[in-house]
Amino acid sequence: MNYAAPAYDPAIDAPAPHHPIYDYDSGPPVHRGKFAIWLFLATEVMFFTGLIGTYIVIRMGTRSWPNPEDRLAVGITAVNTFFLICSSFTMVKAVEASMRWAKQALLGWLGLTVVIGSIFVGIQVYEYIELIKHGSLPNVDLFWSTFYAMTGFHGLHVSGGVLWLIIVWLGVAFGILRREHRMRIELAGLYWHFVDLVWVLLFTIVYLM
Amino acid sequence: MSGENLGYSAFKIFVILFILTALEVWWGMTFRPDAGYSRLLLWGGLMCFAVAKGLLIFMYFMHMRFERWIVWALIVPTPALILVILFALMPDVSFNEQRDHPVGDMLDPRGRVVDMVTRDLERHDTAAAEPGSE
Repeated sequence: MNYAAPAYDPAIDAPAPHHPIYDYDSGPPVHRGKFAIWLFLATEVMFFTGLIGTYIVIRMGTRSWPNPEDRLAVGITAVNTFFLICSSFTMVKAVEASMRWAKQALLGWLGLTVVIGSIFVGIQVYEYIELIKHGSLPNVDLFWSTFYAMTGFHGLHVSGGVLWLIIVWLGVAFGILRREHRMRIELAGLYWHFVDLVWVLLFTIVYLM
Repeated sequence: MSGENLGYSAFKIFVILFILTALEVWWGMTFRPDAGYSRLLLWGGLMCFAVAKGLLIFMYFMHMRFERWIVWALIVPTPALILVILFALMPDVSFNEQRDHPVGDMLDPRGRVVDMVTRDLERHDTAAAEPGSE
């Protein structure tokens, strides 16, 4: 299929003509950018699995645990989860548009992803403000400390993702990112889907269990 | 919504994810231990939904289904390594008889708590203390 990027892209990876000794590809059998982003995501998997694992260990070692439904707004967060899944879909459409380099469609889908991602962050900030108003601070008990640690770090990742997508959007809009740079949109998309994937697990573990 | 370039229909995956999320919330609200259902039913069902959704995103949106071995080799060992840390920590925290972290009954300002462990223990203790209960 035409989706997989070539491991060796002559436009980017070709050695200088006066260095014939380097005229071979010693890189990994995937695009270098993709290899790098997956390496980064592997560290992110360990980061979040560490947080979730710690939560599970603490929870199993605790004599009793509050009902999340009594403390958290599950309904609003379920809607927020839906928003994030929507943003993953719009990101897929943006990547698809980037393959055809349909610039207007790409800008539209990317922009929509940024908007939906920002809504997600906004709702999470609103949730935090309401919780803090009611005295639910991280130092109150283990429930809140683990809750803020997990959702807070995830929120920071989503914010970082929104920022990344805004930069990509501006790059495309102003012609800095062109057809030959379409892999960069895919890399941003991979990060965005990862953030969505983490939230799917966090929502289940923190809000529903 | 054909997704010809992607090799799959993104819209179909999106609809499945939406349905799974709705079912998951319904499951989480319905089969609660305080409504008389077992915790295994609640957690088992929720984990099934979460894993199914996660796999769909991982395999299709992150297109791992179409990736080469090297990407798999990067990502697969990481959760396994974390499991090692988890199993190393568990004996000290989760299976420690001296543990006492009363987050629920002592610190919940509204006092509404699902006491998953001690409720059963207290029931046994009460039954044992009642005269003639043996």
